[in-house]
Amino acid sequence: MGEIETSVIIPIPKIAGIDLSITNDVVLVWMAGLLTLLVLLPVCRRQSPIARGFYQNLMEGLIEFVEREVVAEGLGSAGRIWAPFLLTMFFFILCANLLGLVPVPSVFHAVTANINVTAALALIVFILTVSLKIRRQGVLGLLRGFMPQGVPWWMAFLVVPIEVLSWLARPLSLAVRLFANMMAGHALIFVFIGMAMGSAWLLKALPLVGAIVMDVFELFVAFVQAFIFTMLAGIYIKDAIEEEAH
Amino acid sequence: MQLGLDVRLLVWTLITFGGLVAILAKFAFKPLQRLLEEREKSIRDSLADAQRVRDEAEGIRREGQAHLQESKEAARKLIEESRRVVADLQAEGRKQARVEADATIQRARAEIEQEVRKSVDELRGTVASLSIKVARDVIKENLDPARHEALVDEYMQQLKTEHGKPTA
Repeated sequence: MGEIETSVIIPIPKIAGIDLSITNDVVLVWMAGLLTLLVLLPVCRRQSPIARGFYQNLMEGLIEFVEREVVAEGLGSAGRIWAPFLLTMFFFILCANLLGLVPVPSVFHAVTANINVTAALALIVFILTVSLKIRRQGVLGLLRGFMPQGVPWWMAFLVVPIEVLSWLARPLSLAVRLFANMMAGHALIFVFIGMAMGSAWLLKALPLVGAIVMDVFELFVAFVQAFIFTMLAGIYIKDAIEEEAH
Repeated sequence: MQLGLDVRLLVWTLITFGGLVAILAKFAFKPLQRLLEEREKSIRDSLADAQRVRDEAEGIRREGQAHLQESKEAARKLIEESRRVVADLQAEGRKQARVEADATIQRARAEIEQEVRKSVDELRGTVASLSIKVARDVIKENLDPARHEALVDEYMQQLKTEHGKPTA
């Protein structure tokens, strides 16, 4: 299906039993990070309080959209300190997604179509929400949350596993949703390109059109998935903050 | 394999994202936040200024309206006062004219009465002298009735000529 195999570019000896060798996927993650910096730093570090030019307006529009939809409406004024985290998450995922649209498939692909990247991002959100809860309620408070109030004690054997599962399902669904969406789009584009390459020259146009349409659709999906991931992360943080208040 | 566990990628993603959050929070979002707050403050100040200017304009308009109303009221009072003064003057003039007319009439009457009295006196003197003269003439000559009548007419004519028409 045209997948790019992971290859080690710079081998690094294991540190505490963990292999930290630089692979092509790691480079793509760095590229996504670098792209995020290149995209945001010039926009955010200008001096004039008035936005000038298409790019400045576009980026400020995006930033304000995420701030309004995720931070202001989702988290409220108390959650403003999480704005840099959530904005970084949105733009990092967006840049990682958009790298998959660069038409050099031998080098570039959407690194978010790799479950390890999405799992790492979901893990960050999970650890953050858990640490927020533990900081406020303590470990006992966190564990007590698995047994909703009003439920008879003898139901614990049924309710607690369900609560734990639903709690663990959050990062899992976060990781899998982004991975699956990016993977599917990526795979479909490869299918179309493969069909175009394998068809007779007269029939090449049809799969090529399909690949172009899918590319445009992927552009839309790149934005939507970045936004959904960020929005869900915001909701999970909000849950932790709200429970802080209780 | 995209689905296989790749600890290297997982760990590097965690490190990269952590570093990215730290860099962007310090060097990008903080200045941007400050910039957006400045812009918000600037817009808020502009709106407040606009509201203040609007309030001032409204105050000036109300003040102007009040001045206009006062001026109208003053003009109305002035007109009323003028009308009243004119009416008073007219009434005074009429009264004065009436008094003067009455005085003139009184004076004329007095003069007429004086003239009449004088005329009557003069007439009385003339009639007396004529009577004396007639009596003297009657005594001097014996007249027939026709001559007597002609004589009386002659004296009457003479009386008319000398004194004109008698005053009414």
